[in-house]
Amino acid sequence: MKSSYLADFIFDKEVLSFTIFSLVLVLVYCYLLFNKYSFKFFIKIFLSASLAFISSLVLLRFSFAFVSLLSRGVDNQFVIASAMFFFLYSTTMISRYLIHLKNALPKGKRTTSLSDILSDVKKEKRFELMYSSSFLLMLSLSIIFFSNGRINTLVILLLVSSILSLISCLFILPCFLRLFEKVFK
Amino acid sequence: MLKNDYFKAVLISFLFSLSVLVVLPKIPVFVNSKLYKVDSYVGGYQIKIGSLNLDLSRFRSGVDVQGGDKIILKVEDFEQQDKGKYLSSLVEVVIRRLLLAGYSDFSVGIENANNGEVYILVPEFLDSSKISSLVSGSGDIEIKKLKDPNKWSAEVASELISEPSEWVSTGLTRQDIEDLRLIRNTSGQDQIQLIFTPEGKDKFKEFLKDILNKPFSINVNGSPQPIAAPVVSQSLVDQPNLDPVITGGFETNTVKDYIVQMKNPILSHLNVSVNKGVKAQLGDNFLNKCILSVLIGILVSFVFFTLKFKSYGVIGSVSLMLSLILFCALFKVFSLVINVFSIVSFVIFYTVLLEFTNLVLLNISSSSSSSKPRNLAVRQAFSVNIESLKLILVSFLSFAFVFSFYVHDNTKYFLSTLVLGALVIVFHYFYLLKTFIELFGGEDEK
Repeated sequence: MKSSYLADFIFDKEVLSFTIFSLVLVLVYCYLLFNKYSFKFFIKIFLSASLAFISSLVLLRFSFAFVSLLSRGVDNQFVIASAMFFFLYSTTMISRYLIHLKNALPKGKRTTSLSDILSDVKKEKRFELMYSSSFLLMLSLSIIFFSNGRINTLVILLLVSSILSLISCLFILPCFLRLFEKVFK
Repeated sequence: MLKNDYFKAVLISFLFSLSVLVVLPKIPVFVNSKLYKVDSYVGGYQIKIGSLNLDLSRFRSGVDVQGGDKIILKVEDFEQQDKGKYLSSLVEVVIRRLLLAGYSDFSVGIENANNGEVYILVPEFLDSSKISSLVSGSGDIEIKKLKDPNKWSAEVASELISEPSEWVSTGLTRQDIEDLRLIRNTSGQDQIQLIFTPEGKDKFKEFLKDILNKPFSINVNGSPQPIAAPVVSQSLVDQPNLDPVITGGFETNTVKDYIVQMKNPILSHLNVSVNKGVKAQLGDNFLNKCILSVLIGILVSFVFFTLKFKSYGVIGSVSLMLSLILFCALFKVFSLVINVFSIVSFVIFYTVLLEFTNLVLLNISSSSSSSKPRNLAVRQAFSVNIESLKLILVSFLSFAFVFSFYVHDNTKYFLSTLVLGALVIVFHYFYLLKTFIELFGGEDEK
């Protein structure tokens, strides 16, 4: 894939359909997890999760363009494979964060303040540890691949995708949750 | 151990042994001693179940990672006005033919627009000569009759059929034949049905009268050898308005290929050349490097588990290894192809497998420190993550289901690997890891 294609990455037919499907998945997750809470609360969570996903997708597009610039064009199938990896991995991460959030919510209340819980969730070291193991594989993959000319691009793209998936749920999603907590007050 | 535990252990051992046999390539076993002689092999089996031929001799690899054969189609006397447009339509016809014939692991493109050359890249596991004849055939058909029908007798039948000079054209060509169908009669025999245009039917009726109990031949793609040479029966002569049906005496696969060619004709004559052993698109050593790196990654995760969780880490690592072998066996059985997409999908599958093993072991070790009974700790460790696992499986399966209708080419291997991975994750989490921890995780202190 050349840089010109990357410029249209977000609005590419395949990427766009993957994005819509991922957002539907996020909606399903939110419904399954938070249907017992108030509508306002549900919307707050869904909007935050969707915007976190879309923001990381925008970051992904810029990262791919950057990688493409560095390696003078990236193979088309590398970009599509990495994008598919990102869509699945990032929705998986978001679902895990939402489950964590739900478990931290006080039982039996239909509405609750998120700001108290978010700090608890952050303190939960286990959540971050869950992902440490996944990095081992990626890291070893990259170490080996970095010595091999063209192939390292695939690993860089996968690494970028997984890091952005992590960023989207560990940093961007809590930020949006805090923002919407203030907006919907 | 309880009786139930024994059953579980035996089932896991059986599955593991079976998976290893499936994954192994063909390894010759040769022993020549005084006591006994063995000349056999292990692995790389070729199993035939009914019409299904299961080839377990090797993993299938795509052209991008392992290379393959390059077929070049050169248009004869290429002097078209609009060369680019003509070659693009030729590429489309070639792709349609290959897809209709059931091939999916190929790539087609323009090799040289000025010389009128189109290339087809096929992986090693596909028969490039069969593909060459499928894509190069023009789709023409001609019906011939014997020059001297009086020569025909059962004794000289095969000799006459294989001798092109004994046959002459009847004037019935592609223009006179509306369709050629492959049907099956009530006794399960394949039959060819020729459907003529009204003009074609008149011509057919005309020459039918003279050849009762004598053959006519069906020649396709300008070949001098017929694909079938049926003998005209009395019933056909009596009812000439019926569409003639030919039973037996032909190769079903050849007819199937011809039907594809007939429905997607190529107007020019094509010269075919095959370059065997074309290098992998992603470099010679891509697959070897990839396998090496994945093995190192797996080894690192085993070391990580062992150091972090001690004996439970070893149990987790062993169950991970068994799940990976099972995954590889299923990958081979379902004839999936190793390409960039399946490799990326494997990375996701292994990451999720690793994370959930890590989560379970983490929960067990934290429960052990709070002096909870072991059985209760194990049960809780598995139940606490079920909701999360369910959501991930839902996303894997729905992703694969929705996009299997949408994606094409090699992308489909991403989805099929994902589905296979989801199945192995379910087996690993709900059966393998649980059984291993219950069997080897130690007893409760009394």
